[in-house]
Amino acid sequence: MNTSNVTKIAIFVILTSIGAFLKIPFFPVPLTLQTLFVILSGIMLEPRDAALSQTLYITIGLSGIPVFANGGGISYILSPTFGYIVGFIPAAYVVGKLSKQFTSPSILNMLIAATIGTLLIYLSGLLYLYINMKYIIGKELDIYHTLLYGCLIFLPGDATKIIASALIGSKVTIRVFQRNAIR
Amino acid sequence: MSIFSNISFGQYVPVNSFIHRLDPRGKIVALFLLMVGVFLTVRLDFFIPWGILLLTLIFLSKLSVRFVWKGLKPVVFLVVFAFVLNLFLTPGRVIWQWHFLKMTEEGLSMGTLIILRIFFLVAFASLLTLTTSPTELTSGIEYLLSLVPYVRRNAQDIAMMMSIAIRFIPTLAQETDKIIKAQMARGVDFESGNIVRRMKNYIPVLVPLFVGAFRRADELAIAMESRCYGSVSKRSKLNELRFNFKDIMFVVSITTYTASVIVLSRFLSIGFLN
Repeated sequence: MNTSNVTKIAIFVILTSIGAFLKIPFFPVPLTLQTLFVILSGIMLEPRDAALSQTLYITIGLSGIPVFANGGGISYILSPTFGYIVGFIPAAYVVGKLSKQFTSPSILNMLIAATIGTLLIYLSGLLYLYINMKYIIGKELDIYHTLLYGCLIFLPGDATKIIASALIGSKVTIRVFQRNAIR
Repeated sequence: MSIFSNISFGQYVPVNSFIHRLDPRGKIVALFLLMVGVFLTVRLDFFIPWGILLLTLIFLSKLSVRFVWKGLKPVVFLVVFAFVLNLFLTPGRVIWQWHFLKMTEEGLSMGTLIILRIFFLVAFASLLTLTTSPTELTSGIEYLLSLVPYVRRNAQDIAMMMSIAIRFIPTLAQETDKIIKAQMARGVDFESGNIVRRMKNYIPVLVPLFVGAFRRADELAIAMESRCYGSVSKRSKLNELRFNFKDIMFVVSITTYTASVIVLSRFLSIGFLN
């Protein structure tokens, strides 16, 4: 692993942490810009490095540094929403794999990658929400309610976030590539 | 609009005690065992041994109960939610009724079980973060992650990334704050408009944030390379983790305790509460 990869992965750990605090007040749930950074990590890093950056983010959060949306610490594992955070790892990896297949960072390509990434975060989040409700809270949710509380109320926000990450992703990647080309 | 004013680092309370001196890996393994144990406890009276163990551990770590209590605050909502849900939605013998709300006996005991379960899970977990510094905990988790071959091959780089991230989170958070304020001074409105509008208003924050972050990453890489980072194949650590006799004893005694509580709760039938 070369030095510039080391610092770039570290930067994405930091950006994901900051993303948790950039909240846009919105009904019914406030939006954080975090998934945007997860998707961008996939777009801008190698797949394996992107997954690593998200793993490190979770590690740092679990070790007690408050980088998750509601603080940090080992007890976060019990929170019903921990599954969404775990989903960052496969999402970053798959987005990374996909966006490397594309020849140019065009908005449409970014849109496809971001959509698939967000779906993966949902998948992991919903699965964990269901398990958590069943075994920790002690109430089994049926599939309809799991979908309603875990996914449908976030959908309008996440749809806009997908579009935004595609827009920003293509803009920023083009700029970073340009800068590297000049150097 | 300072969004980052409340980032305080960790809950760690530095005291010199037996629990504080234990190896973080041993403590993580012990926590895992205790969590499994608490999950497998399905009878209310068998939470008494867990209570005794918790108090013993708090006593051994020379902390006051207040600290553990503070760690429970974030889950109060979860606990109340779970209790109410169980209280009214469990079918069984009705003990209280108000229109469509039916409180049942089964619901009451199920709700209490859930409260105790979440309480003990969180209390044991926060005991770990209270007695282990983030640095130690990170190297403990790192050791456990290094069971994955890819992580083991790059262990030193990964340790470096963690240190960089922990060091630069406050710096970049400050920078983000500055960018937000600068854009507000230029007339960007973050508080009104529909969702698409608001999202769009974040673009003038995100682009400079990214470009700045990447510039920093490049500069840092150059600075590190000019100090010969990566030229030595094997770096040594300032604080090596040591797994001593006392750590083995700790893990073994926790394992024995957990196992005996589970076995007793499954096979003994002297319960006075069920």
